[in-house]
Amino acid sequence: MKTVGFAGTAKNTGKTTTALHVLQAGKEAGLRLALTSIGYDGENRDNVTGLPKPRYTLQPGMLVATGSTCLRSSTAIVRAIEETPIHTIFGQVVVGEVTYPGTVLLAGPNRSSDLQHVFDIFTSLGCNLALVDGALNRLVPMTCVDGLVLSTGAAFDQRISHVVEHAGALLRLLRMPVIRDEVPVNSGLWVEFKDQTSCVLGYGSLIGKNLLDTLLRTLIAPVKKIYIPGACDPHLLKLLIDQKADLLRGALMLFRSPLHLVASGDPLLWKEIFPLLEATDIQPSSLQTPQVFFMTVNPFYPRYLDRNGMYEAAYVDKRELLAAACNRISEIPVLDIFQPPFPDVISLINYFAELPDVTRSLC
Amino acid sequence: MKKVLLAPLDPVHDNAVKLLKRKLSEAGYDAIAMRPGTTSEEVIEKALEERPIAILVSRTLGYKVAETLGRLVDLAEASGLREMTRLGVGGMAITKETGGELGFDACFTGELNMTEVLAFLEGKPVGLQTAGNAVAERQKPNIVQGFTYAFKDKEIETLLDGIVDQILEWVKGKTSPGIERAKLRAEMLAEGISLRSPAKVSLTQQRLREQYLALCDDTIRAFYLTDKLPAGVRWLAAAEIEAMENLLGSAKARYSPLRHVGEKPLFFSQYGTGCPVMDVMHIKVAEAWGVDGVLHFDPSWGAQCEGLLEGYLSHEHDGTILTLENLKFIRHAQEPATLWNVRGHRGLNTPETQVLGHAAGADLFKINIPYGSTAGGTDPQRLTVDGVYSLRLAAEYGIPFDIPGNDELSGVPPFKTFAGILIMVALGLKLGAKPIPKPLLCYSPYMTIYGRMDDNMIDMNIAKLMVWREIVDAPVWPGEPVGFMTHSPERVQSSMMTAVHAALASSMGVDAVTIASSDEAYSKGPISAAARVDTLRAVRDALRFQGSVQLTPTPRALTLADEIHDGICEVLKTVAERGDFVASICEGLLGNEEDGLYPGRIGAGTVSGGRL
Ligand code: B12
Repeated sequence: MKTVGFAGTAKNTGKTTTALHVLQAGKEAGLRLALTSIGYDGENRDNVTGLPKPRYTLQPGMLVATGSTCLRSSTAIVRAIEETPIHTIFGQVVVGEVTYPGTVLLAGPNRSSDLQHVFDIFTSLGCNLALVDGALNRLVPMTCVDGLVLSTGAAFDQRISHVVEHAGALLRLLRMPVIRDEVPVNSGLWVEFKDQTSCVLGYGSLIGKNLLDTLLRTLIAPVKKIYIPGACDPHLLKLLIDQKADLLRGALMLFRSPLHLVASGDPLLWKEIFPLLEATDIQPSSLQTPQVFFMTVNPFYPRYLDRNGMYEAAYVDKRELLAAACNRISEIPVLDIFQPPFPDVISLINYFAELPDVTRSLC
Repeated sequence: MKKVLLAPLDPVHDNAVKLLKRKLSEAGYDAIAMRPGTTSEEVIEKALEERPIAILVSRTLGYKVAETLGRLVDLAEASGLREMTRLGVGGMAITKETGGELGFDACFTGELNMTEVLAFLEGKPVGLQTAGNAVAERQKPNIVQGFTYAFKDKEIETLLDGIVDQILEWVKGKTSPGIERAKLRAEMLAEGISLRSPAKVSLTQQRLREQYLALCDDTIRAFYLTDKLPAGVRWLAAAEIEAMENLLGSAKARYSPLRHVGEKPLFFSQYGTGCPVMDVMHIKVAEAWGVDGVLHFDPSWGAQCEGLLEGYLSHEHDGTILTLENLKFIRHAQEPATLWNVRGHRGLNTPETQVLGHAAGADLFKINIPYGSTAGGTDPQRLTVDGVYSLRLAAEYGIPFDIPGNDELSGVPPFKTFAGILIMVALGLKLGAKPIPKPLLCYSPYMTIYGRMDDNMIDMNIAKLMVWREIVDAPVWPGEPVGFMTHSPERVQSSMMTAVHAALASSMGVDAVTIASSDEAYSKGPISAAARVDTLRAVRDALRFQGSVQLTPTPRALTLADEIHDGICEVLKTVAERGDFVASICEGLLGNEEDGLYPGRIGAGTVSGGRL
């Protein structure tokens, strides 16, 4: 089974539309499909802008994992197959099969360990392709998907240059080199010195001044490898490098997943960190990362109207947006699903998923 | 001690966090509160140091909620915290949808509910299930418990004794089609027979059917013989009934009493939209907003027609048709602890209504002979015979009955209405039943015409409640509903008036109160569910405002109470002297034409046996 997560840089960037597009393509390809969400998706209208939102409409035979109370508010009829032990705000997560077509309200597992549990059930039910609807600002639970489809566009920022700049930075972060390395399981922040000694701290994240201070006190000899499994604040990382550049020079800086870094700071902030690492000859890598299958750009944005306090649908120049994005991003396909070219999204997902992790290079 | 981290992710608003800190400390937790203006990073940093079992976030400001809070959940997961620390969120800006979208484990909306918070901290699922358990544990209240029914006013007791003896003497040997049908209906229930049973007709069924139909009006007979439904009545479809079943299976009302302190009064509201399905929805709404009991209102024509229908029937006008199926359907939908009153106090089917009500699980009946046999009601002879029989049934079933004093709405002064209620109290007691007097708190025509409430509405209402405490040790249940004739079509005004009346009654230590919906007087059709919520909300806050404060009656209230008390004695004396209860009603001793009362005529000449 392939698992794909759909994530947007902001609300209204077209995440659901993209996922619906992949669902449709998967159906036409005869795949057994499944859908879940790490957040909540179900309004017909956006609760801020009041503008209509696309809804997940599922066909018979598709699998779905959602909160038990959501099933009652869906127009699709879903035959429950398995009740998971996962509790959410919308009740216990239930895995079921659609028996009558209609919309579904999605509110699935919100932690990666729970998402993995749902994937296992999908697999046991013969699913070929599982789609995970992401939530605004929330990428970390996606650590367990095979790959991501990112959506960005004018709803993130109406300046096209800024949209592509940000997308480029995000992609760069996500395509950090992956290495297989021996690290203590469930450990805290772990440092291996060049003299073969090592030490483990009681916490795994570099977040907050106190934790930085403890780390600074720990770094007393040249470092061979530093492993930060949790969150990592880019500002603190910069302070760390500034103060311990000599000891860190040439070290391997290992993160568990770049998704943790996205959670810890804006990609544009991280973009400034990479040259700093390069200059200090520090090699950033991660233990795992989902691939990024492709990216979609969406010219739509909700425009606020001063005269009546309402929103209206507005668009930036769609050709300009797509061209600028393709120009800036060459590593993965970029598409606007309503503009040519119309590549086969299923093959995009399959093709890249076959590539072994290690062959991908730092972009 | 288990640690809980409290984080106001808000630039200034942290009062809720401080409140939570106190409540959690009292519950034995080590609650660590952060300052307003704290960032997500700081919260996670603190959590990594303290390793709390949960982080509870509060957010008040309604803008940039997702941006501010979304970060926290992802950071918590990235830093590995989520495996042992659960994340909860609450506050004015938070909806269930936001909480879900942001990936929190629990979301607390509305007012702080510590039971839910503690359940969450103990690792139990929050919400539906917890609420369901709480509901299951709730005991059904008993309004009459603890009352001795001893008369404190011995003069009144003696007068009532004489009146009651006369009534019981008079009904001896008498019967009516209503009583005979009640007997047949009881036999049918015992045999498991219904008049419409499609299965093979047994001899018993045939006999019961013939006997029953002989005692019915044409409309009812046509229903059984030719399947003709009365005007405005239709069958409920099986799909409608099933859909309701499914809906109820999934929704559980979360009971939260209207009372701020204490166990009394219990709050009741009436339903009777005509459609049992709609009734159930109304009941569920009322339960969810804290009602303790509901009263079934049947169509007005149902009271004027000999015989009752059968089956699941919907009616397009006001009042829900009394059939065993309708009643059971409605009872089944109620929470187990909800008190259910089936009224049968004024019509030709009064005795049979008690039989069906009992079979469907009623907790309370409503019977008032003087009221039911005036103001367009039943013939006094007929209702006296039927009423006594009904009281015997109430006693046999052990079901208390209430006695509404709504004759005041016609213009009867309170002392006459109360005299009638007292006769019903004494009659019920003599027959072994448990009566509940229901003085009406209203701005009645009598008060308007004679200017008795021109200055304020408190003194008279207090007097009307006080007088009951002076006379007999019985529960008091102002109704029906309180504040009647003070309501206007404006929902805010209407809710306000209901709330102040309910609060006044509560401060007088009454046992139950019936409240209207805010559109009850002016709905021009079935009342709306939203209007029910209006008054339930208003009452809740009026009680919150008042707490356990008790009112001290003003000198004027005391004078008015004396006046009513004396008036009652006078009325009872004349009724006793008249030596004929039915004649007393007909001659207006309990309310005459000047008071707006006329003896009822429906069912006249239908009483048989005994000495007429
Ligand atoms: C007190 C108050 C303040 C105080 C705050 C003091 C403090 N230390 O908290 C002060 C004066 C500082 C203040 C300032 C502002 N305020 Co102010 N404030 C209020 C006010 C009057 C009461 C809020 C309150 O404390 N309620 C009492 C607490 C206990 O109740 P609660 O927060 O509702 O929480 C309850 C539940 O929600 C629940 N709960 C809450 N959180 C959680 C969390 C969990 C886990 C759980 C289980 C439960 C739970 O439990 C509580 C008890 O039931 C409200 C209006 C109102 N009537 O509500 C406006 C209000 C919140 N403020 C408002 C605003 C706009 C501001 C300002 C931004 C105004 C301005 N433009 O300057 C400024 C802030 C400036 C800034 N720097 O950003 C608006 C918010 C509007 C919106 N929709 O966003 C409100 C609604 C007033 C209004 N109608 O305009 N404010």
